[in-house]
Amino acid sequence: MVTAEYVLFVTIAGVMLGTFYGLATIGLSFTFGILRILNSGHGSFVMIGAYISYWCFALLGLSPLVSSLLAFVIGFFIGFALYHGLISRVLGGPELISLVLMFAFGIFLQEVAKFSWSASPRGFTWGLGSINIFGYEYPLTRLIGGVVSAVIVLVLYVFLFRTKSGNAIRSVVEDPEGAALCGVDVSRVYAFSLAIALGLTVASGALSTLFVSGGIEPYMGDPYTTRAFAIAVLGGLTSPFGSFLAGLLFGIIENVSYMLLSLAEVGNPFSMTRFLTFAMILLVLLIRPQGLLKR
Amino acid sequence: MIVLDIRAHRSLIILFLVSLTLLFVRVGIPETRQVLSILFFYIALSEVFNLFTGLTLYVCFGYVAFVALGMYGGGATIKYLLSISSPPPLALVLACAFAVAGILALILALAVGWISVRLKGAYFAIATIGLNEGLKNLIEGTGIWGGSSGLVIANDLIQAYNYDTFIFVTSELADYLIFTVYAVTILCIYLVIKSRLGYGLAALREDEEAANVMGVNVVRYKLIVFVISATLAGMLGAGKMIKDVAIYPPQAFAVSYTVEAIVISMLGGLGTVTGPVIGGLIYGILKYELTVSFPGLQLLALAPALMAMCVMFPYGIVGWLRRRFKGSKIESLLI
Amino acid sequence: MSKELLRLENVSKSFGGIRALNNVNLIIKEGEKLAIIGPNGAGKTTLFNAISGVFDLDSGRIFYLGKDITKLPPFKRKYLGISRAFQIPRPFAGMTVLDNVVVGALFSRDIRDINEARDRAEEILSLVGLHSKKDELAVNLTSPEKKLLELARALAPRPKLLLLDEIVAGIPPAEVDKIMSLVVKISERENISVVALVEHVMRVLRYVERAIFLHEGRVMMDDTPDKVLNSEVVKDIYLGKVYE
Repeated sequence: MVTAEYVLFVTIAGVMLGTFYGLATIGLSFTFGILRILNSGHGSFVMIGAYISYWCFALLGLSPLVSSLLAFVIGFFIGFALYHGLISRVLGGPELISLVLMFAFGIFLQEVAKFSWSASPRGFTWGLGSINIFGYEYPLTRLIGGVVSAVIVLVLYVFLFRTKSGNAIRSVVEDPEGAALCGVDVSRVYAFSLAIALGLTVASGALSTLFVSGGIEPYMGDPYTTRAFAIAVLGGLTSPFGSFLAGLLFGIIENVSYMLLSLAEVGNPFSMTRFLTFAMILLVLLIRPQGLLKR
Repeated sequence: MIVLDIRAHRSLIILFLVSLTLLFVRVGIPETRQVLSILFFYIALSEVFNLFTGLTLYVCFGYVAFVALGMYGGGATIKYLLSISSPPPLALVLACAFAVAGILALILALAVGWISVRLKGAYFAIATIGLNEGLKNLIEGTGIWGGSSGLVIANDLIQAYNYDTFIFVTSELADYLIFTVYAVTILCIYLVIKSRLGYGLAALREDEEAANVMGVNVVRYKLIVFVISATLAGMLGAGKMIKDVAIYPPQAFAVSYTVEAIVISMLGGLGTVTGPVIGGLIYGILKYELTVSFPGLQLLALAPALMAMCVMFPYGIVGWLRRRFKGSKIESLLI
Repeated sequence: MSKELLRLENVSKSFGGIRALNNVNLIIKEGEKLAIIGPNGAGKTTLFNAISGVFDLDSGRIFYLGKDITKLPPFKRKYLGISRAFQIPRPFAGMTVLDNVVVGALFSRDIRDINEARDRAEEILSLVGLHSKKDELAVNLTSPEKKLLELARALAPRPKLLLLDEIVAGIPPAEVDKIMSLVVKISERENISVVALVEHVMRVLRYVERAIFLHEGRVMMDDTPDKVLNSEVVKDIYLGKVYE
């Protein structure tokens, strides 16, 4: 039954999910805003994070909160390696090359995962019980996931706006040549930014296990890629915090649409929501490609 | 009146003859059927991919969707036509399948293309990457055309015509049809390159903004090649459906097609007609060897190879040869 | 002769808080040669951009041969005969010199056939003196040669209006004379109106019959080059920032 409480519940759940989605998308906007490179293999990094969370839990009994830190570090190093190994060589070249490169890297991660851990889906439950929101049971892990995501984004904000390194990064976004003239090592900024972006993405993958307890398999990243694209386009592809807000909005939209589709019984709500995500991308690109939230 | 100036178009004619030779090999030497059959499909797909991405340098990651749409459209058409009380002659059924496949792909390409072709490369990539997921989820979500269970037309074909016809159609005719799509595609690429459209696209590749100021209607040109290539991809899907007689969402939308088409095109040379053929032959042989020695690991080896090509060898074999022998006969032969 | 070619009516454009063009009224006739002069930030490039159609106007209209082209996109204006040579040449680097000019010729109203375009391209390249380099890749040209290529590309489509975006900046006087005489020769031959944007190189004014002084987005003077250069207004504002 659709009561006001139910709608409120769905909305709040959407907000929690949305902060997580926002975190999962920030890396994409960060990379595009600073390096002007679209991470066409975005979802695979989320997948890696999920696997990290799984193995930490299965082998070491660590909660996803702890493993998300490890995930960030791993993503950070992948970012550095990727920049110096490959990205630095194609920066400034045709867009096609960097698009194909990131796409191929994403595929590579998928295949390594499949080779190492097989394609069978894995999962685990960090049973923490649930809390009661407006009379509906909401898993505590999701609440934690949402809060932690928001905290991480806050830390990022503080870093970008209040620290020297953060300001250096922002100056490079505004004016790479000017920044270089002021003594900013643009190449280091690029490497650092990619490292942060991928670190955040992998960390979000680890946190994803707080929201979904199963389905960890090599190809789980694809829906995340589409979703991240939709959110980034919605919030402005170059604006990380725009993406975060768009993520919030998207979490609510996704939850509500899932609820409406289940009620309307129009086919499989799961798949239909994903289809609508894609339709939304096209709609936003048609009407306002620079994003709703970009001034 | 089109006067066939053989000398002027000799490069295309040579390529066509070489392709025909391969076809004859496939027909004449049964042992090669398996390998060459798959090869034709991949080369055809790569040429289709090349028609757009090679000529505009915009990456369309969504060819899987157009091929799948063609498979579904063609398959559904066949299923429908064969279910009516007195099924039409085979030729008509197949023709309708191709037509429907092409039209569906054309419509989808117009819709998606019209929106995304006017945006920069990254946004275009976003729209086309989402296309695969979007279409797959639409089919699985609404259950049309068999939904998650897939679409199978084997029985329909056997019942409507006899078993021998069925074997002929799926084993032999399908390959000829795919070859025909390939032939049409290379003709299209050739005609485009030599035309005013080709000049505009060349300018667009170099510097889209400058091309716009110089009078090239960049949006329209991108859209034209996008729609043509998508339509051909749809028809290729129809051919594939006739060959496989079945389609299931997970395989149909597998990302491996995209990767292989990109690898073959880049290996051979983006923007060239001969490139995908050479790239396809090399890749086909490599893949065959790999499948024999390390089954299931193609993508694991392909992905790094693709990354290496991006960084070190972006022009491909034909591209490199053309630059090396610039101004000579070799350059004009390797179109 | 003396048919009206281009007319700007009350054209205004602002960027942020800055009024780049302030109620500009201008009429250019067929076959005229004029220069737009003015100090840095006067709005000269903005004026050219407005005529090219690079952005929408805040207010005002632009007429070309009597037709309202205010809303027309850049590539369409080229078809009508408005051609532009940029100050910093932007040739298609990977294409040959000949192909660069062919693109210029091919995308115009009069020429649609590739062979015709090639012939025209060769003709223009001969006129500017680059014919010997026609098969070179554009990226391999020297700086002055690139300027000639830029000019050739702009002239290839048989335009009626040529916008010369200070292409003679930073080159020695002898070269300036060479290019400007070339421009005059070709424009008289093909009845092209030439509008030259001039900030520093006043030598260009020897080749035009009319000078328009732009300052802070406004047309301050519109007269013969002599009268304009010697007016108090211009002398005040330029204050010795003029190079011969």
